[in-house]
Amino acid sequence: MKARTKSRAKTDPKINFSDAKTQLEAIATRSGAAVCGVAAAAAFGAAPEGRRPADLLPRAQSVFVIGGAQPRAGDWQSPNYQHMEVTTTSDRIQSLALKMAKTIEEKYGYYAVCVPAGVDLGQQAFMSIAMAAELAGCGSKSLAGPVLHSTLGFMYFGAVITTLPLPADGPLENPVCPAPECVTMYEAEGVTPCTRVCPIRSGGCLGGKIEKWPHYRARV
Amino acid sequence: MSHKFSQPLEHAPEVQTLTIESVVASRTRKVKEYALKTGADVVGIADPARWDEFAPESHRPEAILPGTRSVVVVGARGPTAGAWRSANHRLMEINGYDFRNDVSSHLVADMIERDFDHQAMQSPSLPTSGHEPPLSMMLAAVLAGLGTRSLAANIILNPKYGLLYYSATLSTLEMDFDPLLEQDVCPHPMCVKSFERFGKTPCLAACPSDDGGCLDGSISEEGRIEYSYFDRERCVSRAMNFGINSFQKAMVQIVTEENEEKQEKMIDSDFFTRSCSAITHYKESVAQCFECMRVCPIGRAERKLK
Repeated sequence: MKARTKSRAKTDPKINFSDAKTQLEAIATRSGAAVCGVAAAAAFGAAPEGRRPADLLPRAQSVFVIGGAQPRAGDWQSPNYQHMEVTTTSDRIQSLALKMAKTIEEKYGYYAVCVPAGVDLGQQAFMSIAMAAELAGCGSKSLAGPVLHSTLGFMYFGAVITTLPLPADGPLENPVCPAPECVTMYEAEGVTPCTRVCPIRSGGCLGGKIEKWPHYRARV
Repeated sequence: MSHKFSQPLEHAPEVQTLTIESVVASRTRKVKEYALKTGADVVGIADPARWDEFAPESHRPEAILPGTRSVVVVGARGPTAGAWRSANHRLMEINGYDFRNDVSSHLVADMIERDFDHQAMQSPSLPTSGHEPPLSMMLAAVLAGLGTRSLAANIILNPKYGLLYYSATLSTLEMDFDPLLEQDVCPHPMCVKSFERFGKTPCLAACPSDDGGCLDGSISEEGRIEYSYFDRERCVSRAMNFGINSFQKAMVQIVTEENEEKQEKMIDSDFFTRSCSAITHYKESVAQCFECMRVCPIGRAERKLK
């Protein structure tokens, strides 16, 4: 039997996918996203089988990632830290992701699925949205856990899997974390601000070490 | 000023005669355009008097908003076409419903009060006591000419989109009404042929009541629904596994469990986790089984993308 090597994806010759990406980013930004990026669906090889884009949407080509709904500067200043538990949830970005999925279908006629923020069987994520954010160049994993954006830091992410073949951004070349000042602190004290505030050795959640990396000092 | 009157008569600005009919038609158009702009896929307007024939007095628009003169019904698609194609059907349990119809309905009510100085409110569609909703959204959709009842769990199918979620706005604003659909949406001609040949339609075959399912029915020689049966209790046990009911049931089992280790496992279980998630996010508890709709040919063309 002859192996099927050709992609079965049908593309619309009338659509300029680069323009489509720009338009989608403009819609997302206008609707509240702080950052946008695109990951290639094929780039999720590190994800477990069953948790990759094509497992959720046959013939998936791209993953459109949006980020935002981050706590405001005022939120971080509040002495009542509990208020952030209720005012800065990921719901806003999830709603926007659902809107973007519908926009892709209605505007371009390609299939789109919003990756649910809830959990699938075994309390596993349907697909790692953090991984999608990294592969779309929206940020990189941090010592503190979340994917951090290079200028805005912590935020919430949403992901839309689609058969629309958008040009992929790919992961960042330079990781966002550790920041140069954290490296300096680590060199002096053996901890970073985050690993110090919640040290795993004293009942906290975080630990880690920073490897020698020649480029960090050149970063802004 | 004199030059104004020196123009030949044929160049004088055209004066539009405002009649009550044109004012009502204009506001009806504006309300409908606004509903579509704010997320609805379809919109229809029903005369509140249409309820008199079908609903008890306490479940009519007048019982909810005294002086109701129009009922604006909006319908919105739930899952994306991509979600229907997903091999992981659990995805639709979470993303099957996005409340777009509710959002649109609220915004339409705001618009009517703001722009037309008339009272408006989103009609309550969930039971406030007992199990009967104050106003049936299914009946509202039919009476606004947006769809007709189907063999598949009595779901009101729209001729273009098939399954839709509906919300209604009651208002004291007079508007033009849409006619009821003249033709039944269900059964689809393909389903009539299927019934003639196999004695089943796709939905009846997907969930047959004589084989543990929820549906049964027949189609007359004229191609109309002759008889339909929907086992709501069975359907609930499949379509609403997680939500208020499952949370209540699990709580009783957890608090009465004497073995502490088992109790902890029950709390950490998938079942209880998803029940908690369903009641906190709510939309997860709306529908967890789409199988009769997955095979329905109505609206399928709208779900065919690239």
